[in-house]
Amino acid sequence: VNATLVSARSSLGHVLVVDDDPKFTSIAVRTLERAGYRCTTGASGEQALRAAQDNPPDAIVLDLVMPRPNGIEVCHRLRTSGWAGGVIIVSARNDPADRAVAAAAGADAFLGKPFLLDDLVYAVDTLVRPL
Amino acid sequence: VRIGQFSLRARLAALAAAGSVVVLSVAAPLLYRDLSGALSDAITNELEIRVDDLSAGLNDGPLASGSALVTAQVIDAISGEVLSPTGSEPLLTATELTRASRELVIIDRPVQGIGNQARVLARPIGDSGTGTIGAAATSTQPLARARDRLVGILVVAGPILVAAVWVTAWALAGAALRPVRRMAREAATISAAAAGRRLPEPAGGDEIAELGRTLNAMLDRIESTIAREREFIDNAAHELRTPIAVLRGELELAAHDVDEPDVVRQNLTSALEETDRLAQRTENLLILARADAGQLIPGQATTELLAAVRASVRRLPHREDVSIQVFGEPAVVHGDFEWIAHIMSNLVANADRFARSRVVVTVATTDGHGRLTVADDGPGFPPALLPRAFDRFARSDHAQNQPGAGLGLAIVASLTQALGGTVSARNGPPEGGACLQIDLPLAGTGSRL
Repeated sequence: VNATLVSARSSLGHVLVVDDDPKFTSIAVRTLERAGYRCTTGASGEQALRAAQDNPPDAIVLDLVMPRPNGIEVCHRLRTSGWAGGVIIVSARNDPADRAVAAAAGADAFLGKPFLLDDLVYAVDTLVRPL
Repeated sequence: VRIGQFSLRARLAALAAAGSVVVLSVAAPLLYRDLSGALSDAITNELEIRVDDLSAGLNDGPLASGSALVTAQVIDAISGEVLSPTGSEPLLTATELTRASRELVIIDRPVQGIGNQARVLARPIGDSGTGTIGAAATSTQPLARARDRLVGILVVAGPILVAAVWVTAWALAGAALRPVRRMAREAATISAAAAGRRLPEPAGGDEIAELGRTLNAMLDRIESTIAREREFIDNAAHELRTPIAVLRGELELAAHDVDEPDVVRQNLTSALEETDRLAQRTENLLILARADAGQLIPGQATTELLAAVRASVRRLPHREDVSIQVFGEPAVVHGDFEWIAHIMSNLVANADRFARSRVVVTVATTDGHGRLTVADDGPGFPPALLPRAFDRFARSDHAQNQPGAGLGLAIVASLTQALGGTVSARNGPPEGGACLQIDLPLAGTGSRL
């Protein structure tokens, strides 16, 4: 039953996960794949921009603190280029100023590390499959 | 009442006033003596001229001189008779006559017909032995009046002068200290919350302008220290939350997959690694915090470097495709084994991360120091990073994709410096990649800080 459910949900959408910590990327990918999303990954801002251009995802999970350009800059550039998918900024730097900067750059959601995996799925669900 | 409780301005004004009182109390008597002496001399001079006239055979009776009349007589020294003008009362008493027949006599006394305040001047005149005396007298009342007026002026003008000095000094001190008051007002409103605010710096190069610049430079230093600490706290929080997030994620995934032992085992293994990472980072941050607080104090222990290196390398996990080789000679240095091991593990972990296939650790003795060199065959430090290789959270863009917080080498530097040693980093020989070198004072050399 579980397997059927997973395969049935495997076409929910495409999520690009970008984080410079491979272990965190792995957890996010496993979580989102379990929830039925197809995931691609990147480890830097440059890779994020290239991946978003080559194979535009439905949503991007972006780490804030990354090698240049950082998550905020990536988000800003994607928005400037007219891309309208969902952007979720995740960061271990978790203060109100960062949230404000992320929102100003056009991010849809901000998750402070550590967070519940369900919160990540919920955030992606909200952006990719609006009710 | 303590002097310190009055304002500097009040103290300066009082000091100036006190100074002027001292100057006046010395100068006023001198001025009085000098002026009254000069006036008195002028009167005596007048009388002398008159007697000189008598000597020259001139006597036109009482002559007006200045404001006072000068009475002149020619007197017979033996009889005391007034020879000219005849019939007048002699100016001299018998005693004075005797003295005046021999020498010049000047006497201040009342003289009938002139007044209570008068001066008489008499001396022999004519050829010697003729026995005639020339005498002249005049009132000294103008002199007394001038003296009284001078005293009056000094008594009234002195306090006015002192008061004027006080007021001027008060005003000048106020003007000079105004920039200081402005700085004090501004300083009262400066706080850590309003970064970037500075004291107003008076223009010019005087002492107060220098004070302003010095205080502002101090504020710059304090602010940059606070900024560094804030950055450190931000970075530290980031470094701790990242492994916690992974740890939490792995455990949550394991809880989901509880029916699949293999998946759970993988999750738990990863969680264990993250726990180690977290423990290591906590330990590192603690060392740095202690170093900042000046509490990184080494014990008295000594450690044999080569043995410590071998033990550390054996214990350290490293990449399977990287070989770690240790060469060298024993060298006993100052430092606890734990500290040396910590330095070693951070150096080797760093080299292991960037090496292509080989990390070489050597221990040598060189002029009072035990030298530990860790070299790898990786890409080396990016040129821009090399000068700040030992800075906290200094990471190359390449290293950002690697685990590690950029604290390892900062820890190495802090511990080494606490042990009285030195650290250096370069690229190139002997392995072609990064080469880190630590010099620690040998035990028994006494060169330890």
